[in-house]
Amino acid sequence: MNFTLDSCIAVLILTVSLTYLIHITMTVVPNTQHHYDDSLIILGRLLRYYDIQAAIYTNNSESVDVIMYSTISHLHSYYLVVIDPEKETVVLICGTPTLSSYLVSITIPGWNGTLNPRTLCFRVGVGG
Amino acid sequence: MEYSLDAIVSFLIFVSMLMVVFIIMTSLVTVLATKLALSPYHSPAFPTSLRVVKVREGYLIDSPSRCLVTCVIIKPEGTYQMYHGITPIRIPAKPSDWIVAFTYTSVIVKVGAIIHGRLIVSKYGVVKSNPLKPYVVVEGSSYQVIPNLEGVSKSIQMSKSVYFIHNGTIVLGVRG
Repeated sequence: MNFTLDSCIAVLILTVSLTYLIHITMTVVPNTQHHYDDSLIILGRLLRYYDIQAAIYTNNSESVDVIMYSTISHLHSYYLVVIDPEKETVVLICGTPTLSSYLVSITIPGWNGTLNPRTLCFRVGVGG
Repeated sequence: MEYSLDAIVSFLIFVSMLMVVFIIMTSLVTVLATKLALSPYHSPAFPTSLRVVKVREGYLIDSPSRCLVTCVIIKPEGTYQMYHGITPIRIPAKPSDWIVAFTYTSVIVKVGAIIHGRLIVSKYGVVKSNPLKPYVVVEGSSYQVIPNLEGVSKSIQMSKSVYFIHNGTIVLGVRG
């Protein structure tokens, strides 16, 4: 009888754990899709203005921060990494590190008439 | 021994069924949560929220987080001044002046005295042709923010994104 009780409890624990795992998996998958659309919309809108390019090419993270928060809701955060694709180095990192996955990326060719490409990896979402 | 074996088998069957029930319940909860998340937008709004506060000498443009803002002060005679800065920003405007404050995706208006004629106020000042949205059309004592967000929820109900483009402007969807 003791053996039966032990096995029952063990299987119950297993059941709850498996159920929780399935639940987490099913709730996380749709959320990751949302961020791509939102991030592309925000980044696409910002790149229509000169200000964000000026902030990126002058490595002004303070400026990037206020520009981002003048575009997104104050309930959301963002994460932006600027990469120099020619030197393969990270130039600038701004925002909340918890949003550092599932980034969308766009390469801009240059600024002020110069060929100086920068790859922007960006995500907007709820975090931090 | 037979009793134990029977008990184990019955418990296994019971627990297996319990697991199936749990999975079905979890799926149902997920489906319901997804349906709730995709319920119609009850109040589509501009993503950033600005407010104009009267202070001792002029007005203060404030927002929940520090953001870059452009303010256009329009005098009753039709001239205008522009201020560019990070919120909270204090601007020397009089109660009779119109104040139009812009971010990249939002706009707020403080109404002033009656203006003769029709002015199109954008992030870059008073312009003649329709500029990048959002912008404001001031006429007399009334104004119109372009784009108008009224009735937006009907056209964007199927959108899964939090942000979406409506009539050339980014709109924040709030589901309820």
